[in-house]
Amino acid sequence: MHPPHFSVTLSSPNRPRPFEFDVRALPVLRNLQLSSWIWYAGQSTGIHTTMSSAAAAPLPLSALHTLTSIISQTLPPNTRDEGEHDRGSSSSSYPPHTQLEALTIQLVIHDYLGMSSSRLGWEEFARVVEALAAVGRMSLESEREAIQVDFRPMMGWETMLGEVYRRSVWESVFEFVRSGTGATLVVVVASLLGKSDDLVEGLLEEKLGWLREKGVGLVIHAEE
Amino acid sequence: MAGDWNDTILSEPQELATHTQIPSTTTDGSNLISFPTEIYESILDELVEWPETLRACAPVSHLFAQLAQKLLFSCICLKRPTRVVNPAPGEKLYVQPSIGFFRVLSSSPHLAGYVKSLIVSDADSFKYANTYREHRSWIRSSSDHAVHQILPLLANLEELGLAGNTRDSRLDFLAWGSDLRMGILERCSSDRLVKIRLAYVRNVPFSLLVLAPRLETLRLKNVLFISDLDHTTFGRAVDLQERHPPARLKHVSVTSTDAEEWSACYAWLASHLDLTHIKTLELNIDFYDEDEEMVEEARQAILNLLSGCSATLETLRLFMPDLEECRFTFRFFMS
Repeated sequence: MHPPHFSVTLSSPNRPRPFEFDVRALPVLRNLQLSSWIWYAGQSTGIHTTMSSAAAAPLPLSALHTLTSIISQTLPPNTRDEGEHDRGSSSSSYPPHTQLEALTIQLVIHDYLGMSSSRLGWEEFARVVEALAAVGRMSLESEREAIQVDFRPMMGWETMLGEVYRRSVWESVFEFVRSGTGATLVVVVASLLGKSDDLVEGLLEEKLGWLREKGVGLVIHAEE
Repeated sequence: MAGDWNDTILSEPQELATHTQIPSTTTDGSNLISFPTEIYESILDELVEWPETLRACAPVSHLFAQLAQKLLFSCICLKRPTRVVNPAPGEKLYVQPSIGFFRVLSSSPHLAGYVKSLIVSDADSFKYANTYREHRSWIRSSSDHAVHQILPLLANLEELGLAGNTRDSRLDFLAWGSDLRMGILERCSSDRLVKIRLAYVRNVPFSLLVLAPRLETLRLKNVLFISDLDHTTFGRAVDLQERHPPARLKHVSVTSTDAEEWSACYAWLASHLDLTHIKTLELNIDFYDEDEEMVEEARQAILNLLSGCSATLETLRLFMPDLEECRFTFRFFMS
C-alpha cells in the first residue's frame, strides 16, 4: 500500500473546484461529514445593515462548488460517470477502500451577527430550502429547462441571489441534488435567533419531502 | 448544574447488601416485583436528560437515591453568577453556582466521586452580550474561591472543560489566581482524565495537555496557547519529559480562525502528543488572516495532520467556509 500523500495545489482557474478530496488516502474512513454555508449573514455589508441589504447577499458560490466536488469524489464507484472511472484508473494500485457508511452533507444557514433580531428569519429560510427542492425536482426532468423555468416563481429569492450568481448557483445545486444518491444524510443546520413556529416547520417538512423521497435523509436542526 | 439540593438527593446512600433489591411492600400489603439493580440502572439511565424526573425518583429508595445522584452529578457545568430578580429581604442578590456547588460537596462529600465531567463556563446568553467584559469574568474574580477548592475533590473526573465567552476577549488563563491554575494542572495530571475541552481561552500553557497521561479526546475552539512553563504559570516548574510515552489522542476537534495560532498549535501538539492514531477528526477552519504565507503554512498543518492519522481515521468532519473569499483553495490527492 502506498503511504498516503497529501499536497496543495491551486485549483484550475477555469473550473472552480477549490477543495478536492480523495478518500482513498484514508483507508478506514467510514463517516465523512462535510459542512459549508449556504447562507451567511456576515456576507452582507455589515452588522448594522438593514434587512434589505442582508437579503441582497449572495449565496457562497464556491462553497456549493466545493460540496459538489467532494461528493463527486466520494460517491460509490457505481454512481460515478465514466469520466470519474477513467480518472480513477490511474490510481488502481491502491487497495480497495472501505465503503463509507455515512456521508453527511451539512448545509449551514447562519443568520445572526449581533444580539438583535434575526436577519434571514424562518420565512426566508423556508424559501431558500423550497427553492433548493424545487430546482432539484425540475432537474430530474430537464436541467436546461429547469434553469429557465424555475426562476420564474422565485422572484423573491432572486433578489437575494443577485443576477451574477444565479445561474452558477443553480448549476451547483443541480449537481448537488444529482449526487444526493451518494449521501446518506443531508443536514440543514439553521442558526437563527428565536424559536421556530409550527407553521414554518410544517412548510419546511413539505418542501424537504422531495429530497426524502429521493432517499436522502434530512434533519432540520434549529439553533437558538 | 442540577438545581435544588434537597435532603433526599444529597443524603449518603446506605450500603447495598446485594445486587438485588428486596421487594418493597405497598400500602395494600402486596409485594412489588423485585428486579436486579442493573434493570433499575438501565431505566434511570434513560432519564438522564430529565433531571426533574430523576429528582422525583430519588426518594423512592436508597438504591434509587444513589442511582439518581450518580446521574445528576455526573456532568456539572459551573456557570457565571446570576442576579436574583426582586430578591426578598435578606436574600442574596446573586446566585453563585460555584459556591453553591462547593457547599453541596462539603456537606455531602460522597457526591464528589460521582462527578465525571466538569465545565467551568463564562458563556452567557445574548441578553447580556453588550455588557460582558472578560476582565470582570467571575472565574478570575477575587470573590470566588470555590472552583479551585472543588477541583481537588473530584477524584474521578474524566473530563475538564474551560469555556469563555464569544464576546470581548477570550478568557485569560494567566490572569487567574495561582490556586486555580494549580488546581487545573493537578486535575489534568490525573490518570483518570481522558478529555479536555477548551473554548475561547487564551494564554493556556501547552503543558496542560502534556501532563494528562491518558488524554484521548481534545476539543479546542479558538484557543491561544503559550509555551510558558516557568514558575509564573503554575507556581512550579513543569517537566515535560516526565510524561512518556506521549498521550495518544483518538478524538480531536479544532476550531480556529487564526492561521498563525493554528500553525503554532499543530506544531506543538505534533511534537508532544501522539497524533497518529486519531479515529475522529473534526476541523472547523475558517482563517481570517491576510498573510498568505501564514495561511499556506496553516493549510500545510492541516494536510500534515490528516496525513499523519490517515491509517486510523474513521470519521472526518470538515467545515468549509466560502473558500473563494478566504482563498482557502487546496486539493488533496494521492501521489
